[in-house]
Amino acid sequence: MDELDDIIKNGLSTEKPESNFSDAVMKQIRAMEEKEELAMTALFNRYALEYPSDRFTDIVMNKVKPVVKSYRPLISKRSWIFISVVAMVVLILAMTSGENNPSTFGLYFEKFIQKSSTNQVNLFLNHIFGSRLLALAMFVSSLLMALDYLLRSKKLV
Amino acid sequence: MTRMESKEQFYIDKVLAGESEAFGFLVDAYKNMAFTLALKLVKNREDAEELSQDSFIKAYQKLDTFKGDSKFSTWLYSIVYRNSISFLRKKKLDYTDLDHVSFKIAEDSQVSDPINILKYEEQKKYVQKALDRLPEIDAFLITLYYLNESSVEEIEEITGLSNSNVKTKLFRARKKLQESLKGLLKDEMKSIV
Repeated sequence: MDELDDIIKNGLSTEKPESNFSDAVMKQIRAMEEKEELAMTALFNRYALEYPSDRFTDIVMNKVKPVVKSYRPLISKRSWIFISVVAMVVLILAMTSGENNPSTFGLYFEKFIQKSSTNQVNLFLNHIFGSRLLALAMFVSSLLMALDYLLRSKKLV
Repeated sequence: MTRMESKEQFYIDKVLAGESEAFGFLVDAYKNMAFTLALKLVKNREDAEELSQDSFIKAYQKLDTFKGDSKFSTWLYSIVYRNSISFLRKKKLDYTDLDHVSFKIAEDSQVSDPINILKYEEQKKYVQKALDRLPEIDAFLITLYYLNESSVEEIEEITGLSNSNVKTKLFRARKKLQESLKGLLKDEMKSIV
């Protein structure tokens, strides 16, 4: 029996396929894989994408902090300091003089005006700088405006 | 730079110049993909919506740090990924364990059923089901790969996973999907021929 097996074994020999056999097989495998990839991509494109709610963009945009345009006051800080100083000076000068007793400032101012302007202007300005009440009103309104500026610049109002 | 990339750079510059409304273009352009990716990880529509919205807001707040070395979408999706992962961690979900669980693909008879009779919605559900059976991270990666057509390098950048890890996970996920979508794939392949 063993002899018979040997004879059969020896009689059998492997047949060789074409030289490009492996390449052909690999080519087919690659083509199949490519096709599978294409099919998978197509399935994903058709079915895998999910859609959020219709209000998605609105919700995000409402949460996104809006750009705050910086507040630029009409009168700068420096100008306000200048106005405040002038108002203080006017107040002090006005407080040191009476309605019937013009202050030193009033006198100097009167001289200056007389040189450079008409009698009507002279009279008008003289009344202004000679009045305590007006000076106080100017000072208080300047103070209020300066306070308003500071509060706005610090975004407290 | 592609046409889309230069367009989005235009809107990014506008946002950085103070025109916050320009961000709406970027939200509209990427909301679907961002939502889809978040959903693949958290598997709940409400959470995914909240997380993807939050990711957009984070992107807006950190837009000045976006250098433009990568695509805006790549950068955005990395935020979606990190956001979703930290959400899951907060929910005390042991992610590492989940990721290594070998999910058994349900060998239900539906796979070999004549799928061509299913309507669009049913087919969609079928694909979603197959994706849901994947571990969360694998589903996220495979969605980026097929739907967003991201390269392995881009996926690496988005997730921070190593190149070999991304490749392994993609391979594993692809095999599982091929198995569970056998019927649909066969039909799709027929239509490609």
